[in-house]
Amino acid sequence: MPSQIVTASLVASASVPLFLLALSRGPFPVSELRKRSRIVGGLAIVLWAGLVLSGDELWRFDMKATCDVLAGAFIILSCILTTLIVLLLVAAGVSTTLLVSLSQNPGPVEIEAWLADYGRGFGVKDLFRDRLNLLLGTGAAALYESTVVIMPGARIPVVLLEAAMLYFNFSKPAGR
Amino acid sequence: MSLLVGLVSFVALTIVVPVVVRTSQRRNAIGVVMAAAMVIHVAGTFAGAFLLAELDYWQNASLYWFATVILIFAYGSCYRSLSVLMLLAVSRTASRTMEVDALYDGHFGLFMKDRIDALLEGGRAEFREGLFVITRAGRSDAARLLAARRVFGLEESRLYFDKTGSAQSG
Repeated sequence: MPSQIVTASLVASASVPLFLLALSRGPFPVSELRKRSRIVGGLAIVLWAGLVLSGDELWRFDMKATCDVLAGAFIILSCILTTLIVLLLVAAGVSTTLLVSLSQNPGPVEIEAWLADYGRGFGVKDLFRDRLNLLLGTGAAALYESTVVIMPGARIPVVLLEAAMLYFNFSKPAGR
Repeated sequence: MSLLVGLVSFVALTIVVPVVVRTSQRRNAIGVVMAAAMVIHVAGTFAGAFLLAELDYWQNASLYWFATVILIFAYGSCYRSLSVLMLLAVSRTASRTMEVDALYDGHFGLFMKDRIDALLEGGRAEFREGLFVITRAGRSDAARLLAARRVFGLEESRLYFDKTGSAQSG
C-alpha cells in the first residue's frame, strides 16, 4: 500500500490531464500552448504541495517521510513531463501534422505541392522558419543577415548533443 | 535504500540502452528502449526485494521512471527534433556557420524526407502511381490525433511561432 504522501502524489498526478482539459476549453481557456503548459504544471504542483502539507505523515520529519516526499516529487514531475511531451507531439509534432494533413485530403497527392502547403496555410518553408526561430531562441545560434552562426557559448551543449547522438546511435544520418 | 534501488536500476538501463538501440532493425528503437526499461524495472524491483529487508516500491519506482522519462525525452529529441538536427548540421561545418538557404536546401529537405520515409516504413502512407496516399492504418491514427486535438483545443497550434514573424537577426 502506498503511503499517504505517495497517494497524495498519485492523486495530484491524475489531476494533470484534468487541469489540461479544463484549460483547453470551458470558461477559462488558455490558447497559448506554452502558457497553458506552465499553468497546468504550476496548478498540479500547488495541489500536490497542498495535499502533502495537509497530511500528517510529513510532519513526522523522519527518513521515511523525507524519502516519500522525494518520491512524490518524482511522481508529479514525471506525470507533468509525460503529459507535456504527449501534448507537444499531438499539437506541433511534424509527423503527426503530416499524417493529419494527408488524411484530410480527399485523395492521393503530389508530394512536393502538398508539402508546400500541408498545413492549409503553412508549408515546409514556414516549418523551417519556425524551427529555426526555436533554435535561435535558445541562444545556441544567431542569425547574421542570412547566415546562421553557432554561438561560442554553445560549444559544450553541442559536444553533449553529439555524445547523445552517438549514445543513441543517431550519428549516422538516416537513409543516406 | 529503496531510492537507491531505483537509481541502480536506472544506471543499468543507461548501460543497456546503447546496446539495444544498435540491435534494433528500425531507426526508431523507442519500442525496444521501453521494453528494456520495463524488464530492468521488474528485475531491479525483484532484486531489491530480495536484497533489502524492506523495499518501498514507490520510492524505487518513482526515481527510476522519472529518470527514464527524461532519457526517453532525450531520445526523442535526438531522433526527431528539427532544431537539434539543424544545430548539429551547422556546428559540423568547419566555420560553424551556414547560409540559411544552404541549411534549407541542403539539410532541411533531407530531414523532411526522413519524416516521409517514417510514414512509409510505419505503413501509415504509401506511393501509388507516383502519388502519396494515406493507408487505412494511417487514417485510423489520424482520426485519433484529430480527436485529441479537438478535445484539447489544439486546432491552431501547429507552429511554435507566428507564421508571419521572421527569424531575428543577431
